[in-house]
Amino acid sequence: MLRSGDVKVKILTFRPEGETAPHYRDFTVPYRPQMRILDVLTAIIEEQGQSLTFRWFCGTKKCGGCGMLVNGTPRLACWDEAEAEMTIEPLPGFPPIRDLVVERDSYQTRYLSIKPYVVRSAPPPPFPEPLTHVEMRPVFKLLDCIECNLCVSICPSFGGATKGFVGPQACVQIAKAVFDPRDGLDRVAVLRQQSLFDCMTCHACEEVCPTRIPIVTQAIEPLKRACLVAGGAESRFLSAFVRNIRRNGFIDSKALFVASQGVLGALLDLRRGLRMFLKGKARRHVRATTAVTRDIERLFEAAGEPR
Amino acid sequence: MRYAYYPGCTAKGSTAEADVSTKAVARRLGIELVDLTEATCCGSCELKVKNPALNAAVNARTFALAERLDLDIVTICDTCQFTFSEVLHDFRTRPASLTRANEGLELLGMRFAGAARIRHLLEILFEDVGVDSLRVDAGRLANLRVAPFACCHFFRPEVMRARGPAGTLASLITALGAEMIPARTVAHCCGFHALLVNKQLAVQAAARFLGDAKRAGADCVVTSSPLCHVALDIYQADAARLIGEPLNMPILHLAQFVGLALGLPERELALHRHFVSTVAVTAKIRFTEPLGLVR
Repeated sequence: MLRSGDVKVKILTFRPEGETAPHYRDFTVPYRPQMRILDVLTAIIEEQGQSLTFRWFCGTKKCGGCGMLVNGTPRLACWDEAEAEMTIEPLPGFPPIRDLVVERDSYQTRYLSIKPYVVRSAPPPPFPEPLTHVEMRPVFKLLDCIECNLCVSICPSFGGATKGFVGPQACVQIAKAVFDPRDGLDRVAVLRQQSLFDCMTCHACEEVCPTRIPIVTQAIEPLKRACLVAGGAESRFLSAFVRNIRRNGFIDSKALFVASQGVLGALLDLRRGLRMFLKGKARRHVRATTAVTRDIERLFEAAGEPR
Repeated sequence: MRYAYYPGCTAKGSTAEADVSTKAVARRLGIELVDLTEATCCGSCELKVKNPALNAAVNARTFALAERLDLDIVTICDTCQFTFSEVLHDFRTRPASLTRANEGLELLGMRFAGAARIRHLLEILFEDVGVDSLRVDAGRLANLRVAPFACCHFFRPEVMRARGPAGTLASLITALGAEMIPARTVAHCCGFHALLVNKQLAVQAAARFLGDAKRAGADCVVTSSPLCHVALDIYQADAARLIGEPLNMPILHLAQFVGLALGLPERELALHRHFVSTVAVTAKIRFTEPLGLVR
């Protein structure tokens, strides 16, 4: 931890009016006790008279505006301590507008179109509305989201502002509405268009979330489950995986490949399959013993899973 | 040292060399691995989405099998380790989940009391074996530059972070005398869990890490997850095509890397079963004593 001396900062800056590409500029700022990244950036402007553009508003981890990439990790400038040497870049995954400011509007437009808010199907009951903490439990942690987009910036599955996987932050917003007991909208059709099954479940979103929201387990996985109810092509792999367990007791990768990719898809990848076979990568026993599969079948039936 | 051995589905098929090399290393270290022959798939990231209660019951069945033997479960797959840890955490924090799972197990004449311990091979090496005893010859791996790549599931989810690792792949690489290359960033994932959903996206993720590892000067990657091995080895040619540059990055399983440090013959570690040749790795290992004598 830094206690005294200087903070050396390398910042990726970009001026759209005169520059064609971003470039790094070096700054040195004297360290002050309890200095945050935000204080370093402010000192560059206020004490050194330099021009530098970045977004911030509350300074207390509430507005979610000051997200940036610090030494390769997305962080909130207002909440993390300054380090002796820092390389600061704009949040990846979003087009940079100027210096550390990125364009967030397009992404916001995308997830607003999914109506990430409670839509009632009937007029609300008179105040106070009967609503228990048990009913609200699925969304409690999700309410902590400050929409800082740190999670989106490092998500390896994020498809962008117009297509593909909608990104973890939007999933949190949508889940907040979907699992709110007051919501009356049928959202399955829209959810199915958000490529939720592209999520690699890497949990990087949870790792960088400044409010520690269990994004995968409490937003993305329950949303996937909501889509499963309707079935469909996007959840073909997941359904094939579960059927495979039910039938074999464990995963037979050949059968899973054919079931999820189709016969044509399997034929197109035949070379890889053959090479795997020759390399001894094909399972010898593709099914557990009858006693084991009978056990599994009983558990599936007891859990109410239809055949 | 005796454990209930749970290799997981992938190490029994697509990366059979992970299972073979684990058994070879265990033999050498005097570890007895008791096969959980009646265990089933852990459900990975899929069964818990389909039906969380069913996922809990299926895994409680596996735990009960190990409990019957009075042994800790040892896994060699980061995702199995995560799934087990998540279910076990649920049982310990919400006893109603355990009761419900046991209602299912009752139909099978089984019961899980809740005592199982789930441990990854990496933990066994650090906590029970001791990393020092793996360093037969300190100079053997000295020329090797190794990038660690644990599965995201091993260190990112809250339940895994809260637990805290007994040791990391990075510290193991250093302890065994190789040079550790920190090529991993927070945005890296091997892409495995999207391979059969969106291959292009998954291969892109693999390519991003492999390209970065190459640029960082790694001779090879060591992974503690058979699933990452599938994405990084079996699909490496696709990744190279995608970024338009040759990668030729050998990917070693944890047990293979430990086996090389111990001086086990390549054949026993099944290095020949990889898609990407490991010759560049073995060529850099200094054999200071004849292999026959080492064993």
